[in-house]
Amino acid sequence: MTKKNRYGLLIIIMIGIFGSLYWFSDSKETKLLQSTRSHKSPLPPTQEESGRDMPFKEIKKGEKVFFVNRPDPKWKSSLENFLKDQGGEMLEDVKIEHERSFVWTRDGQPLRVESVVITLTDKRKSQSHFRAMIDPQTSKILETWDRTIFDPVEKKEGFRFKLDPRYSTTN
Amino acid sequence: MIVRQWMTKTFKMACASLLVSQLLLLFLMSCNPTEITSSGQRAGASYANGELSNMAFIYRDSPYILEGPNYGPNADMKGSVDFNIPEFITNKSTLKGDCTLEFFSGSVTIQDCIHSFDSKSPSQQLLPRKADGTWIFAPNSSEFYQVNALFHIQQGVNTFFDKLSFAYNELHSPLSPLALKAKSIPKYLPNTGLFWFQAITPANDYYFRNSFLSSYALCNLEKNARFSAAAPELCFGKSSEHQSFFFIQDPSIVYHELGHALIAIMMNFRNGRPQTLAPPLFHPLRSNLGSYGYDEAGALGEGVADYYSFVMNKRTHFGEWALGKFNASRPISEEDPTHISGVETTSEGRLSYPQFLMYDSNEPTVPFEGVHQAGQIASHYFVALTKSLQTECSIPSAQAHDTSTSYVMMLIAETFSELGDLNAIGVDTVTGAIPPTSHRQNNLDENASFTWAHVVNPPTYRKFFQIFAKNLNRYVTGKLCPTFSQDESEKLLDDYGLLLFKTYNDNGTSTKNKMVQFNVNNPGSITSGVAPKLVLENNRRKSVLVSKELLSLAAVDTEKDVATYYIIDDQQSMSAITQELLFKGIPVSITKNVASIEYNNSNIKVSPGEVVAIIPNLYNNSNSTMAGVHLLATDWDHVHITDTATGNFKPCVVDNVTTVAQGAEDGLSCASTMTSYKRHLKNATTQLFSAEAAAPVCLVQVEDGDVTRWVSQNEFRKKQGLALQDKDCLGYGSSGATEDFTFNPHECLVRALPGASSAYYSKIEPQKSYVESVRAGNPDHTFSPSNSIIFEINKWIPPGTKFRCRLRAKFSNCTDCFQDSADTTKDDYIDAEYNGPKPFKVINFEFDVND
Repeated sequence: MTKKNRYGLLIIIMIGIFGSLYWFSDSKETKLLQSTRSHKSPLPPTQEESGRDMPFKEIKKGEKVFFVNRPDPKWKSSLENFLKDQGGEMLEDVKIEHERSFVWTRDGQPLRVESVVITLTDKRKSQSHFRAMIDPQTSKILETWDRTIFDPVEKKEGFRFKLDPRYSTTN
Repeated sequence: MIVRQWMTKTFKMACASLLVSQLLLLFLMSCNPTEITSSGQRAGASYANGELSNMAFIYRDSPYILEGPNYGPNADMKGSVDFNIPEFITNKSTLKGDCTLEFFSGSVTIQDCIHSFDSKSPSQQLLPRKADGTWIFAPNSSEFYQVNALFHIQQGVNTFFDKLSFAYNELHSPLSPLALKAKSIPKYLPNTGLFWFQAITPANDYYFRNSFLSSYALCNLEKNARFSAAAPELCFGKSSEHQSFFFIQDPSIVYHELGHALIAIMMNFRNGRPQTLAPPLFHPLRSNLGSYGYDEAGALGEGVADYYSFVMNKRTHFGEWALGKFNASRPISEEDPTHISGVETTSEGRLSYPQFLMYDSNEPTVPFEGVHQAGQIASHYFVALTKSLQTECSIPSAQAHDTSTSYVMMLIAETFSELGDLNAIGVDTVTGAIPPTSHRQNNLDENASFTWAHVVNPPTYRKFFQIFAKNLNRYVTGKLCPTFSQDESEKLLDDYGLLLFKTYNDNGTSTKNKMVQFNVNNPGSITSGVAPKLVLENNRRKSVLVSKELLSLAAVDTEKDVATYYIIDDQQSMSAITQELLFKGIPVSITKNVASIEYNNSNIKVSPGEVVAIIPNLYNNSNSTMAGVHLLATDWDHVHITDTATGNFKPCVVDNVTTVAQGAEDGLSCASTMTSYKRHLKNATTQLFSAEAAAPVCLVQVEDGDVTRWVSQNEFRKKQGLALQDKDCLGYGSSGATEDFTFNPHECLVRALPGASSAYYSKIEPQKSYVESVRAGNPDHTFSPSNSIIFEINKWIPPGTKFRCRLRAKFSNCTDCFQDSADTTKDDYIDAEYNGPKPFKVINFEFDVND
C-alpha cells in the first residue's frame, strides 16, 4: 500500500465514522414541530396532487376570490341567536370562535364559508364543543364535526322518550 | 485493461472499514436506552441520589384495585399512593408534557402536547412546579390529582407512540418485510404532525385550536367523563353524592378517554398532505367515529377505547372504580367473572354479534341499545385476538402483551387511517408514495368524502372488520406471524359473528368505476378484472347473513301494539329532542316562519307547520336477526330531471311501489349513473338545475284530472293553486338582496332536517318489528332521538296532501346490500353506487298532512 493510498484509506474511514456519527446524531436529534416548519417533505406531491382542484380553498387576507353568496356582517350574532333559540332554557351560554374562512365548492357552487368552534354550556355548567361550517349569508350550519363524546355512568343519560300510549290502540 | 479506483484492494478495504464502523455504531446505538426507562423514569431525574426533582408519588391504579372491591366510594387516596417509588412527572416549570414519536429515520417531538389543569375556568393556570423542584403534593389535593392526571395520560400517550412507532417502522422502514405492502398510515406522517393534535401556522389558531390536549382532572361533570375533539380536551367528572369520589382516581377511565382522543388522531392520519416547499395542506373537515346516540361507528369507538384500557393495564375489566361503584363497569373478555353463565372463551361462548349487541353484564335481563353495550363485542374480539396472537406467534412471554398489542394497535391504526381519509385515497402504494388523485379507493371523492364517511356509508361492524381483516391478512398472516392463518383469522371473527363480508375488498377498485382497479404495486397504473380475495365460506358458521328483501315497514298489528311508524309531535318532547341534539353537536335548522315546534299539536299525526320525530318501524321477515340497520333520508339519485329550468323531475321506478302509471319513469334515462354527489340546486351562474342530481327523498302526490302522479315538491307548490314563493319554502334562508344558494326548492313542503336525516336500529329480531325487538315486552322502554328521523312540515301545505318519502335502508349482516348477486367475483359495490338504490332496500314511508 502506497503512502498515497494509506492517506486515502484514512480519509475514507474518517468520512465513514464522521458520516455515521452525523447520520445517527441527526436521527436522534429531537426536531421540534412548531408553528413554522423547515424540514422538507420526504414525498414531493405528484403532478396531479399539485394541480388538484380541492373543494376547499382558504381565503387569505387581501386575496381576491370568487364566491356566489354575499356574507352578512352579522352572521355570527344570527348564528348565536339561532343556537340560543334551539338550546332553550337549559342553555346558559354559547361561545362561537371563528377559525378560518374558505371558499367551498359545494354542489357545484363556490360558497364562502366560515369555520367555527362552538362551545355550549348548560345550566349545570356542563360543556360540549363542536365545529361547524357556516354560510355567512344565511347563517345556516352546513356541516358539523368534532363533537364531544360523553361516557356517562348512567346508560340512559340524555333525553329519551316513550312512545305515545295512544299507539297501543290506534294507527 | 482499465482498472477502476473502486476495484483496488485499498478501496475495497476502505469500504469494508466503513461498513464495519457503521455496523458497530448501529449496534452501539441500538444498545442506547431510550429516554424512558421501564419504570417510566426519564433520564435526567436523579432519584438514585435521593433527589426528587421533577418527580412525585402517584397512585398506580384505582382504589378498587389497590384497596379492594369494598372500599369507597368516598376515597382517601393516601392509602393508594405508592410512596416507595417516585415517578418522573415533567421537567417543565408548569404541568405539561411532551409527545415524542420515534421513526426509523429520526424522531419528532411536539413540545408541551399535554396540559394538565384542575377544572375549567376563564382564569385557569397551569400548576407551577414546587419550589423544592418536585411535584409532590398532599394526597387528595387538587394539585395531587392534576399531577396524577398528567402522569397517567403521559403513560398512555407514550404507549400509543411506542405502538405507532412500531407500526410506522414496520410499514415504512426499507428493511421491514412489510415495506412492500400497500399501506394506509402515510409515510409523510412525521411531516404533517398528524400523529397528534396539531395546530399549524400561525400557532394555535386553527385546524385544532390548540396543538395540546388539555386535561381537567376535576371537571364539573356529574358522573361522567368526556373527550372533546374540538377543544381538544379530556374531562374527568365527579359525583355530588360522594364528595371525595372522582373519575380521575381510576386510571382505566383516563386510558379509555385517551383512547377516544387517539381514535380522533388515527382517523385523521391522512387528512393533511405535504406540499413541496410549503406547509402541509390540511383538509378543513375532520373525520370522527360515531355521530350521536346509537350507531355502530360509536360502538366501535367505545370498544376500541375499552381495549386501550386493556393495552395499558392488562386487565380484562374496565372502570372497576369509577363505573363499578355505580354498577356500570364493563368486562373486556369472556374470561371476566362478571359475565353471565354461558359466556366463555369457546367458539360457542364468545360475545357474538348480533346476539350480544344489547347485553349489559350489570343488568343482563334488561336489554339496552347503547354504544357502550354494543362496543363490548369489539373489545372482546380485540382481546381474544391479542391472546391468540400471543400463543400462535410464539412471542416470548416477557414480551407477549407488548408485542401482541402492538400488532393489534397497528391493525386498528391502519383501519382507522383508511376509514377516515377525506382525500378519498385510502391506501398508498407499496413505496409509500401518494397515488395520483384520480386513484380514489374510498369515501367516493374529495368533495363528498365527509358525507360518505359519516352519513351515507359510515363505519359499521361490517365495514370496519372487513378492512381490519384485510390488514390482518396482509400484515400479520402475510409477514409478522404467518402461523396465524387466514383460516384462523376468519374462524375467530366468525366466533364473534363478525365475518360479515364475503371478500376482503382488497383489489383496489375505483370508487367511480367498477371496471378499474388501481395497481398499488405499480404506482399510477390501472388494471381491470382483478378479483378481491374471497373469504373461506366454510368458516362462516355464526355470522348469518340475511337478504334485504326481507326488510320492510311493519304492518299495523293492534294485538301486538305494532304500528307502521311512530310520531313524536308533542311540544315538550320535540323541544327536548332538539335541545339534546344541539348539546350533542347536531344543531337542526328549523325554518323560521314556515315551521316551528309551536305548531306541534300532539295528535300523533303529521300536521302543517310541525316539527316531528318519526320512527319508521322496520320489520324483519326473516328467520335470523338483522343488525346495524341504518335508515337514510338523505338526498339520492332516484329521479329523472326533465326540466333544467325548473328542476322538475319524474321519479324513477326503483321498486314496484311508484309505477309508470303513477308518473314514474323507467328505463335507461333512469339508470343511476352519478359518479359524484351533487344535490339538486340551481346553479348561481347559469340559473339552471343540473340534468343529473341527488334529489330529496319526499315526493308529493298531485292530481291531474283523473290521474294522480308523484312529483317534485317544487312542481306541486306552483301547480296546486299554492303559488308558494321561495321565502315560504322550507330551508330558504335568505332575507337579503341575494338568493340563498343552498336552498333546495324540491324540499319546499316537507324535508328531513339536515343532521337528523338518518336513524339507527341496533337489531331487529326475526319475525318482529324494530320496536318489538328493543322493547322486549317492556312498555316503559325509552327510545333515543337517534332512532328517529326529524322532519319539518311547511305550514302552508293544504290539508290532505299526500307524501311518499323514499328512504333507503341497509344493515351490517346483509347478504345483498354490498355486492351484486350477478357478480361472480363478489366484489363490493363501489362508493358511487351509494348514490342510487342498489346497496339499499327502498322503504316507502307515506303519510298525509292533516290538521
